[in-house]
Amino acid sequence: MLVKHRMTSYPLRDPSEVMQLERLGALHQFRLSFMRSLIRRLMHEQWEIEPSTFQLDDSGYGTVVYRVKATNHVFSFVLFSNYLSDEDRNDRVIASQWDLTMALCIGDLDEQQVEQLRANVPKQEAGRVDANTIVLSRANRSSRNFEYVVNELAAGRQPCSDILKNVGYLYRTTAVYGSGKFGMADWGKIRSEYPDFARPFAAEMFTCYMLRHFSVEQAEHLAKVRSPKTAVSMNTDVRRYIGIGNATGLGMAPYLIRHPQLISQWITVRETAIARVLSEGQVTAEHLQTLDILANKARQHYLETTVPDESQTQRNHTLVDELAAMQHWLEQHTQITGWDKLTAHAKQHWHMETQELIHSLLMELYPDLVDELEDSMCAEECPDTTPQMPLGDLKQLIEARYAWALDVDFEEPDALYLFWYRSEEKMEPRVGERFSEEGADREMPLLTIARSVRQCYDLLCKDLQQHPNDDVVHFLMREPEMKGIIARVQTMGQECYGDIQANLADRETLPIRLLRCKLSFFGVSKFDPKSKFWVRNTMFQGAPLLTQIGEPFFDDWIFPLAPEQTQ
Amino acid sequence: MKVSKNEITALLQQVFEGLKFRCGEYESAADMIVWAEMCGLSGLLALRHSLPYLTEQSPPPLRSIHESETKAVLDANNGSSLNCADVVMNLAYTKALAQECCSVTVLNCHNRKLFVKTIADCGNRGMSCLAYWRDAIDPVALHVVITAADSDGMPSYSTYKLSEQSFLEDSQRQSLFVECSTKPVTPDDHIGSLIADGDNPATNVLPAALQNNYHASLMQGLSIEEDLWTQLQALAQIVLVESSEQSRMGAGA
Repeated sequence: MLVKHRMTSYPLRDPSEVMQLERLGALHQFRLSFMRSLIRRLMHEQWEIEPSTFQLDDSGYGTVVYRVKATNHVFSFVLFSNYLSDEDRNDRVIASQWDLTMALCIGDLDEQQVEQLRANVPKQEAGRVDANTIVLSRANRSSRNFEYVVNELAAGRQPCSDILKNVGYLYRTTAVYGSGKFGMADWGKIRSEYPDFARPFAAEMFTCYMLRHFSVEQAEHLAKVRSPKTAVSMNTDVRRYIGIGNATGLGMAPYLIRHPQLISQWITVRETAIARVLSEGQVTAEHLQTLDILANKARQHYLETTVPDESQTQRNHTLVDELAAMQHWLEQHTQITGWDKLTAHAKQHWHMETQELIHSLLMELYPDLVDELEDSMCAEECPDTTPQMPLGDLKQLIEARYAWALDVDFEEPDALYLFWYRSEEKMEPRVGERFSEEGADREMPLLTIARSVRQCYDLLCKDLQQHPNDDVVHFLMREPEMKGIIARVQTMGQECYGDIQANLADRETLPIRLLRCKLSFFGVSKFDPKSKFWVRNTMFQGAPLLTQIGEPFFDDWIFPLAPEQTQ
Repeated sequence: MKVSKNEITALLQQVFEGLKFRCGEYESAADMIVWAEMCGLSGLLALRHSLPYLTEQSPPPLRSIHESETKAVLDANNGSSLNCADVVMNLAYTKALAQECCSVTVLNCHNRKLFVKTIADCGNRGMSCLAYWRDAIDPVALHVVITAADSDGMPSYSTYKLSEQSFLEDSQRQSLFVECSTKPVTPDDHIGSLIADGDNPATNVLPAALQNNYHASLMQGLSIEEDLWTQLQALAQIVLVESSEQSRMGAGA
């Protein structure tokens, strides 16, 4: 079944296909991913970014402030570099010290403001900032890589590509906070008053991009200190291949469930872009050739992606093989008139990861059809009850939009095996086993939508027998516990894609799929799962450099490849 | 100290969750307080006053005393508006939608000032709404809130001095009256006979003033007294689970 959405007249894929957790966990970065949109914006608008303070000592510690002159406003990116012992270096949320801490702020900063930030930013969650601050973040060195790169540059050599293939960054971010945390500016303020960052997570992505720039500048600074006579700067190709590492854990998972309208909007925009390409994208010899080049690049990228996780490695190999199969299929079908033939074939013969990667590749071919959608990623999040809805209509709505939830058998203990909660350690979200661990009484409410829908539906069916002509508000007066889930169902029932179709309490749930979904919208690459609860990945690898702003820009940095070794 | 809208909302949700507010209730309760505070209507002060009465027991549900097509009388059982305002206004809205106009009286309800957001929301839904209640402490003060249909979510908020003859009965001391209509509503029809000094309000806050206050709070953050912030943070701990070696196994990065 195809659904139509108010945003577009194009036929979109059905929610039952798109909103499966397995498929959401198979998404890849694409043209509208937030990093891609951000880079397009600052390259096209030619933002001017210069250090206004660069005070690093011979160990690389100190304070750096970059002045960012964007199209509409001036911002300051402030970074504090401090000593951190190896034993204190910890990527977990519960850490309390980091190599680097940083903030993105509105306007130019005076000394007093920098001092205020210096007193708070290094404390991260334990500090307080004000509504002039947009993003707060921290990062740890990749110890081996950082030292190696500094030593190579100090010795007059470029770092070896083979080493960078394994770890393509010098620093890993371990948290990037925005949206009003710790006293920062609310998203409503940024969205209404600061158009340069008025897209979802644009300021957070920009912070990581600035961190990437600084990481190389700091490495070059240290190389020069260590060996002034022999030190060299990093080659442009190598520099572009340096990204920023990221460790993402369970904190991101509740976000997806708690912001269903936003997530539905992101998915709708992505599906609209795919539908546009499938409906309007003409297949020419030039397009076929470009797709072939892109597929080669993607295959090489996945061949160069080496991660310890065997399952991910296998998935990468599958992608490489099936992309080759796609290229072969296209050689046999050069006369196709639309890409729907390819995607239909992919759906029948290849894995979900490959199907979704093909969608990412196809979107690359048609920037004119896709890129304008980047301004549609925001959503007004206003969950609301429709109190006058007849109960019979509510029952039908649940049956139509939440059949996936009603299909779960909650009599089976495995269907309720897991519970999600907040730990007293920095309120870190965790997943526990209901029948053997303490804390299920403090389970995060509404995180298990499927179970709540089932409870509501059962009560509703009983209630309808006695009150067949009643409406929602009277049902709520009898069953006030149902307020949250009814608002959810009625709100999401109007959304094109609705809720993520997964029972997150199920024993077999893989939370990492939720993380992967959100990270694909961020635009990361090189997924490196460390457990079913967290994943490492790389941001901005291959992206243009700050120094390249103003030069001709080719938006082709998807699937970054290791630079050829030059000495 | 200053806090952002997002962080005080998240903290309050957690506090109310810990205080056993129902799912859906704790979100709207937090929104009601934060919205009132941002508009300059002392939402956090109202919260401070109500905290001693909020316990870890699920609040009593609303009880219907009388209901017809155009009228309803509900008993909040000495609960807070934080728990019942949404349902009250949804009932009023639903009846007005069907019958063009309706009135709902809520008895034994506390923190009635926090109703204002839900009354404003009625305007967003295309419905005019008027609500009034007698001040719980000052027996001669009457609070009146009016929102017009499609009013961009901002009502006017006035207080009047009651005439001595029209003091409401003690049984109405904690009551609130709401009228909802598809047509404009005017205060005269309801309170004209109750108030002294003609129809001059003792205080009158117009929608534009509330909007300005809201905008300023969004830009600069909300002010909150540190002791209340600390108290709320302590209350929010209720929902947290103790850490153990086993629980760390279920943690991400």
